[in-house]
Amino acid sequence: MNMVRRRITQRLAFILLAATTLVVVTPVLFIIIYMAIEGAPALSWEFLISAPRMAGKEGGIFPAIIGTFYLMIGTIVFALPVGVLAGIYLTEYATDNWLTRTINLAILNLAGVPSIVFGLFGLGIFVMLFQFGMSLLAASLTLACQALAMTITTSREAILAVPRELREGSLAVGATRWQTIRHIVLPQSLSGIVTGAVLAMSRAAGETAPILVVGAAFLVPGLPTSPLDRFMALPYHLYTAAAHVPGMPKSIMWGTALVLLAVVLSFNLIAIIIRLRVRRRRYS
Amino acid sequence: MNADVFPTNNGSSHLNETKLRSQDVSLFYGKFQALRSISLDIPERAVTAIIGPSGCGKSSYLRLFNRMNDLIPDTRTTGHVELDGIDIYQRDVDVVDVRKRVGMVFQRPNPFPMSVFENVAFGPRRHGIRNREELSDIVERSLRQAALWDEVKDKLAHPGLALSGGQQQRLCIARVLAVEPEVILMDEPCSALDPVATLKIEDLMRTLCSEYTIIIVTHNMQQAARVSDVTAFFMMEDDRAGVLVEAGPTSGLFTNPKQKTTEDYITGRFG
Repeated sequence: MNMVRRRITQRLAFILLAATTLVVVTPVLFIIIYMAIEGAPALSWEFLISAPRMAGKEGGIFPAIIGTFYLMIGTIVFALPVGVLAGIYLTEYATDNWLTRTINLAILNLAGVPSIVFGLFGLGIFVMLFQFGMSLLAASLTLACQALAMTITTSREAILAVPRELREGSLAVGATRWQTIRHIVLPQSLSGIVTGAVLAMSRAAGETAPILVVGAAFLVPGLPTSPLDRFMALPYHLYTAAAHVPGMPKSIMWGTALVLLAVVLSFNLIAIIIRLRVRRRRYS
Repeated sequence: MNADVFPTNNGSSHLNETKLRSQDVSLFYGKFQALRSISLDIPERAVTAIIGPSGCGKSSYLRLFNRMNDLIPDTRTTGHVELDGIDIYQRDVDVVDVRKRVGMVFQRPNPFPMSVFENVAFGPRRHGIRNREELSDIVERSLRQAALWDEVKDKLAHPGLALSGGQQQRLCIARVLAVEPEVILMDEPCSALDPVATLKIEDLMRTLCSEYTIIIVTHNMQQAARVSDVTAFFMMEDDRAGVLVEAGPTSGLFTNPKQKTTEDYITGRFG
């Protein structure tokens, strides 16, 4: 009797767990499928590689794709080195005192700051104080500040995950602390760090609010030729097209959304591939 | 106690000088006292075994000699720890240099996630040796010394982690030998190994002690009796601080212990 009850309980638990997982996956699939159906008609070679015409109601979104790409590169160029170095300092060198605890608290809070606040910060500091103007550079730095919370945290976790035994083994043959970090800790935490960085990039690709006030524009003639130029970006283009352009064909909106999603997902895919390759090299 | 009086197995009538000395050493982790005023002389080119029940501070004591305890925050050491008569806790002593001269093998084999070759070449590379031929020579010599060469000479490019547990531990010994240390600290090096692999490591220790000073921490008394020339017995006091109860030539300590506690421990009455 007891046996039967236990078996039923086990069955129910299994069903509950599977159902919950399905609930998580379904909306994602639904969004992707819906967007693919709605946006597919707009997708064409022309749409991807030509500039918008008629206030974006015709033509393509090429400048926005390039703008977003530049933004991602710009963000990571600033956020990755700072994130990794700060992560190293916090895990390997900082002693546990009030200063370190304050820094850790600040990093936690950095992740919780609303993105528009980063935008205003960027406007005040990079656009006005540093005189970068409304530009790709100011936007990259603004997004980098926001991404720092993520790159520091993921770097720190990846570094902390390196077994103590490996560090000790290195120090025990007379390697210095820095040599141990450089030759044991960093190679070991590389896949975690890179994954975090790529995820931070794909997040930067999707941000609208911060870049709104530091340089993104709905329509810019030509592509940015210097970091001090203004730029177009996919999420901002999508926002303006959907909210501020009357008579914007739906398919163009969905098409833009689909491209944005493809950019973000392909970066996540890159993160996964890098991770797999690093792991394979390590164990084969 | 004076190490000079210990006859050692390696050169029948040879009397060895003191290589390492701890003088009235106490160790604190925060408020907890892990070791209480330990004075012990470690003879050169011999195997010294440190035995005692779990938690008596054997490993903490061992890690004093290459300043590995420095890595643990809030650690404090008092007294003197000397290598060739020089206090290694003095401010002007370079800890990297100490660790180069005093190598360490750990409880669990911890090869780096790289090839066999790179594992052994790791230390020499960090100390600035770039020449490929020179590195190859060092790797071969170290692996031969660690009695591993014949088993891995065709697998130098294979990952160190692909070796068996016993091979991994000998790889770790080779890695230490590659930087030509004077002392090798071994922290229960066989506790994760099967009996056959254990025997190989023990044979290796007997061979290596003709050139190196070896200290081994073990909770296996038979092992201490088999491999060591000198044995030190540690115990903890009521506040759990480790103390040295007795030390002396291994044969004497096991057949004719001076302290009642030692006798109780080696006859298996506790621990």
